Amino acid sequence: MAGTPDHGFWLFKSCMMGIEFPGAESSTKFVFDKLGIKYLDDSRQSCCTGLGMMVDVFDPLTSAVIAARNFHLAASSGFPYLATLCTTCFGINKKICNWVNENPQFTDKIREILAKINVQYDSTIMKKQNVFHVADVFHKWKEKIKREKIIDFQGISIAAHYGCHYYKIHHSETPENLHILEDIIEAVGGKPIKYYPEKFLCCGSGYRHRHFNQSLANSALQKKMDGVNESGAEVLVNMCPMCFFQFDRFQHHLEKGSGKQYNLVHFNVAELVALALGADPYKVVGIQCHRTKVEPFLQRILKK
Amino acid sequence: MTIVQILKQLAMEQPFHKKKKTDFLDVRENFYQYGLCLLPRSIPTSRFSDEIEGDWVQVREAISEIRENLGLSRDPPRRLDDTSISELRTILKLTGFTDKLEELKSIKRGAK
Repeated sequence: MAGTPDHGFWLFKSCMMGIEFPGAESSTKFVFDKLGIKYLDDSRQSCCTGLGMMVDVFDPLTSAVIAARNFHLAASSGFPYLATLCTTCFGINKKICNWVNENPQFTDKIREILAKINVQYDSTIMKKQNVFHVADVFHKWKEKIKREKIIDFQGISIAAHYGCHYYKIHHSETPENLHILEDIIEAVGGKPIKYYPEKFLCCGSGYRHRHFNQSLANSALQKKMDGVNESGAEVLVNMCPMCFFQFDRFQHHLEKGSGKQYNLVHFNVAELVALALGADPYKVVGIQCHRTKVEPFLQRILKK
Repeated sequence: MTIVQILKQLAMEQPFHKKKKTDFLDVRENFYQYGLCLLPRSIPTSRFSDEIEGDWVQVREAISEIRENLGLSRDPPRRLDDTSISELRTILKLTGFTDKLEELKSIKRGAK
């Protein structure tokens, strides 16, 4: 993302990541600490409400006031830039900034409600330019990652999956080709697959689909995985907990149903960078939470 | 707000859609109770255990311990302090969220 600052990030933790892949959260903190990035892990942060909006149980006003509270906490702590672990948190916070800034009638209502909790609302803090994904931060620091990596992924073909809620926003903000994950893969020594069939296809989760329309979720996943397979990738890197859940948890089921062998290893981008910087696979990266086993792959990398 | 958003909001107020929304009532309740949309119970292992297989269920059962070993808060995904919860509830009351929550709860009770 253009204009990513070096420091001052308010770590925007994800509910789903924390439940399914907590290692991505500890990996992010490990990487930030290792690179010397100044950030705040604030226990007052609430959810973004994005998941509730996706399933229509949150209305825009509620989400906007909740977001305004989070932006206020970040700005008043001196860490005004949101660094999200999840693409839905990224997308919803950006979208809410647009709503608020394009609809002044929202501003008065938000101000009135926040005053009841003794928060003086400043509309200038709700800027979409203040919202980043942790992958944007890693990208900003890619040269240092390259210099300080301990584990080298040299010769490993790695494909990237951005997730709808990141790339749709990216494309709405800039015509620039999306390449941050590929650059990060290069920084850790890997060989990025720059293009593969269905590169921008959704993972098929959509949260609602995974719960209530499983055949659709599985058929989209298969199309996606076939594309990755054709590319010759060994690893698929993601930046969204729902995409991660879809790939890691259901690969085995897909193989059983289709008779195909995907043999892909799945990492969140924070896990990949943390491993490259020497993080312990179990105590930091949390690979014990992966359904698709990564130990054989890691043993091969560590032997190099 | 776009015309699509307005039409969607109108559609979501229809009785059929209100009933559908109760499928995800827990997301709304979780947020009211804890300031978080998802808790482990929102993705019940029983719903996916046949497809996922492996040791996923055991990992989920041990998630608090795993989080603690990773240096994270024990409560998955985390715990907000009481002041934050009180602030969030005030916001939810003033936006009309709390009334809608009660309405959805009663629709769900009626559907049973």
